[in-house]
Amino acid sequence: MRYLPALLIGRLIRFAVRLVRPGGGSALPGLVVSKLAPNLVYKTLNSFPRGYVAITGTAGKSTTTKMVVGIVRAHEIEVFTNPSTANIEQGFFSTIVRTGNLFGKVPGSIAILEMDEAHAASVARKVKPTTSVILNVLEDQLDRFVDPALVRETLTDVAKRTTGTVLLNADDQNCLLIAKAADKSSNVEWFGFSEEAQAAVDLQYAPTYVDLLQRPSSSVTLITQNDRQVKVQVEGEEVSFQLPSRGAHFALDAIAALATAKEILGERFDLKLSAKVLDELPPVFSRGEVREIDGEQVEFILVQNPASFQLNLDNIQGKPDQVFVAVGRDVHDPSWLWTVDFKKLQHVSIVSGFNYADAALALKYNGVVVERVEADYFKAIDDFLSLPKPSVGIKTVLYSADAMRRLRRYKGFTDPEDVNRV
Amino acid sequence: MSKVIRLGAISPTHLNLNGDLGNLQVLKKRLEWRKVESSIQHLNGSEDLNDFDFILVGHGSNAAWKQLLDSRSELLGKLVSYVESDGALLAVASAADRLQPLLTGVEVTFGGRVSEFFDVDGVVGYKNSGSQGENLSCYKNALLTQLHGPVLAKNPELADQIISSNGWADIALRSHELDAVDELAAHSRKTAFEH
Repeated sequence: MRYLPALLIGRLIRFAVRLVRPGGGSALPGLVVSKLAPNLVYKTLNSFPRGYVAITGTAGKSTTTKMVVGIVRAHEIEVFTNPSTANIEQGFFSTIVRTGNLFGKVPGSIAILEMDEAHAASVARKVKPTTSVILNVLEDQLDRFVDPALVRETLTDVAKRTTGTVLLNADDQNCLLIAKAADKSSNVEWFGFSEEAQAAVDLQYAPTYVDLLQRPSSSVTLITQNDRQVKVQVEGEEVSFQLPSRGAHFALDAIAALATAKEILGERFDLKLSAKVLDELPPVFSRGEVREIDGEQVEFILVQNPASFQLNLDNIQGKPDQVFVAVGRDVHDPSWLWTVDFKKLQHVSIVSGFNYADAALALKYNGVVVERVEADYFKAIDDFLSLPKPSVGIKTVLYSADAMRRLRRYKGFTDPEDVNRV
Repeated sequence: MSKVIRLGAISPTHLNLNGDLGNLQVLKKRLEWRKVESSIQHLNGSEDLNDFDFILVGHGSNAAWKQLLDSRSELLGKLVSYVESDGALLAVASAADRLQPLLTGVEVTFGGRVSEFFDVDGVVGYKNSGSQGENLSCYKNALLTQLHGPVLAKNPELADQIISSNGWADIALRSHELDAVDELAAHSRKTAFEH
């Protein structure tokens, strides 16, 4: 009963926000409820009979979480999860307001949650995860985290507090250092790429600048990847399926998801069923999402840090004729744009977003032809989408999280489930 | 044939955490737009630094510096000699912290980390450090700064000052490319404080 007033207020706020901004209302109710009933989220996390799974690391959290949830649900287990935009504590509160009853009870026998690195650690200090998944450590949000070594320390804390198994990326030396520091030798499972698959890509893991540790053998391994088609081995058994989007980073998410689902489901884990789920799963919005607008296909790509910008650029098919780049207010220090190699882009049609000047400077000084810089973001969107259909490829939008949210709201693409597989 | 300006960056694999290397790209382009040729070379520290017209020492993590100096223990000494013989250099954040005491004898103290934009007499840039070293200072022909990333892109006057003081080009020469990036830089300096 003691959470009822806070949850009632939270629901009213959500209702009011959505009246004025359809599709919005995810942040404010969570913020208010987190102030009124700060322990609600811990009570909720403690209420799942199978505990909670924390999926964290720098990149791939949203896609991996969606994949794990899809596989576990296909095995007829009720899952509580958070939407991709709500991976910090405030977002958990919002999700509880949205999906729970007025007593704070949410449905599900297990919670599978995407968690920002720092928040995963702070939540784990209050309620220990049953299982945790650490995907990678990249150079990201340095204005907040300063040094990838500090991110390793934070994630080591998550690993130490995990009561069951910690699943880690065998190809990222940062994960090897985390496992060593957490000293969880008996409760660690690894996922990774075969030598052949590893040689074909650079997933941009943060360099550790210390002697390399020996790669452990992985129980779930990507054997080969050809565009979206992958072959994966799970403890000797091989399956093939199509990824929701192009790129080796999505293959990493898929093997992490298979390893995690296998850990959660134990003997119930059905590899063929799991591969079928991954074969049919639509992408998380803006992770290589292709959407039809006015009879024309447009690709939406979220770029959040140097690695995701680089990997997504490298994965663009051919040399696109029409590219829109928008860097929004979420990028506090745009310096990292200068660590991206833009040679894949010969020219950009329009640069916009709050940080348009920094984005345009990085592009122009790196030899990319910028056809137009437009300060008015909504005008930039309209003008880009109304350009004549490109002669090569499809219209491609590369944008940061804030620019993504604004565009989606402006165009009415607010339902995270409204994303189709190409 | 006119001289090619040689720009060298000390081990960008270690010292480019925030895109400091972009500063050389800025100099290169601003020279190119004034019809002066230049080259950017990544250095491992074994080179004769006096073969270069400009040296960038970017910012790196403690682990990166340790690995670099473990394999190249003479590097800081070489950089000091280069600066003492009037070599032109830009040292950023942790590089400035390491070079300042060697050049000036003044130790750098640490505490109270900040992560925000600063305006140092009109020069705008981002500082993410607990260093109490000066945000922008000169020693001979070396510029030491706590402002990381593409500080020369954001502050083209500073870039042109380097070009002019080293006699690489006549900065009175303007072009529409220079006008366009300088207008963007002005906007970038303004929005830095609107977050």
